[in-house]
Amino acid sequence: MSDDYGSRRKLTKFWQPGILEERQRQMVRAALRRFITGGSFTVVTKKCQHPQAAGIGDIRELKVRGPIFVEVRFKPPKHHLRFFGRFVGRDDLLLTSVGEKLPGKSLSIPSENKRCTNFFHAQHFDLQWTPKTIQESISNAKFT
Amino acid sequence: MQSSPKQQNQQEKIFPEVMSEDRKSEVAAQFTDDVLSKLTGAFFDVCAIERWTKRDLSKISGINETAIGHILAGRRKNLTVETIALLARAMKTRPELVLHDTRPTGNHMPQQNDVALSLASRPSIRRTARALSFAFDPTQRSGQKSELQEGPPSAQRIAYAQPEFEKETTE
Repeated sequence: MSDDYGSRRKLTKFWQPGILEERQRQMVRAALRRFITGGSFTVVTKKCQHPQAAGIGDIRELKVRGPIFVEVRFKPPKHHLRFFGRFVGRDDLLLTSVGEKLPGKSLSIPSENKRCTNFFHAQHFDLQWTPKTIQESISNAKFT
Repeated sequence: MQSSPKQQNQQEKIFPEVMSEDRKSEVAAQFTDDVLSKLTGAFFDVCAIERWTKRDLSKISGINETAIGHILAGRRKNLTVETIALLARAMKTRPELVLHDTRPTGNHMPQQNDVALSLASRPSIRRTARALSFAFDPTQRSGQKSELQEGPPSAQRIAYAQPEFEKETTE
């Protein structure tokens, strides 16, 4: 996964062959398809008390100030691929950036959050549109 | 009238379409994702309700604790039916394979000679719908003209879907 678009990675490029390993590419597509078709999702909330469950959820509510900011995780996690974004209303998820955990390089959540906020401002999206709680953001999901 | 695919199958053999490698990996990924999401959901439940950990599940099922971690994280390739069954049972769930029939069922837009449309245009049905609209629409009872008086709601909905046909019947 070495494709850059300036300083920002372009999410749509992940659908094209050759960017990700084929198995992970198909798993990303399958997970997003599940989201679109209304399949069940597992969500790790900020107040999760089960550390073992925290590592395997599909969506994780990140501990940031301000509106709810989430990361979507994809299995298999060979590349530790994460998509970041915000829910707008119920069951509408705007994915604004992508991150990848590499050895010796960790993801910066504040910078991803800032990027998402900047995207909202650039598109004249109101941050008030984001639900107050993660439970209001997505239906057909299990929370922990 | 066109025969359904099942009827065609009885008459003649349908030429099989070979799956491409991309399609194979796509369907395998979709099913794997489905299985993993269900197992993860079940694990969330046992964490919340029974307060069990992977170690507890390992004790119950006999599957290695690390292996359970790998399975739930999606790192384990080619899960066996036995593993899925044991893990699911350990998490107080009963796995079941559902095969959805993906053959076309013959769904189509309503045509002029369809039963539903012919019923909707029947005077008796229109009367019943008008009576119901009268019962539930206060504007009708007070003598005001309502939009519902133009026809039953069902007929209006069909008119939206099939404007040309409705035009023919109302003229």
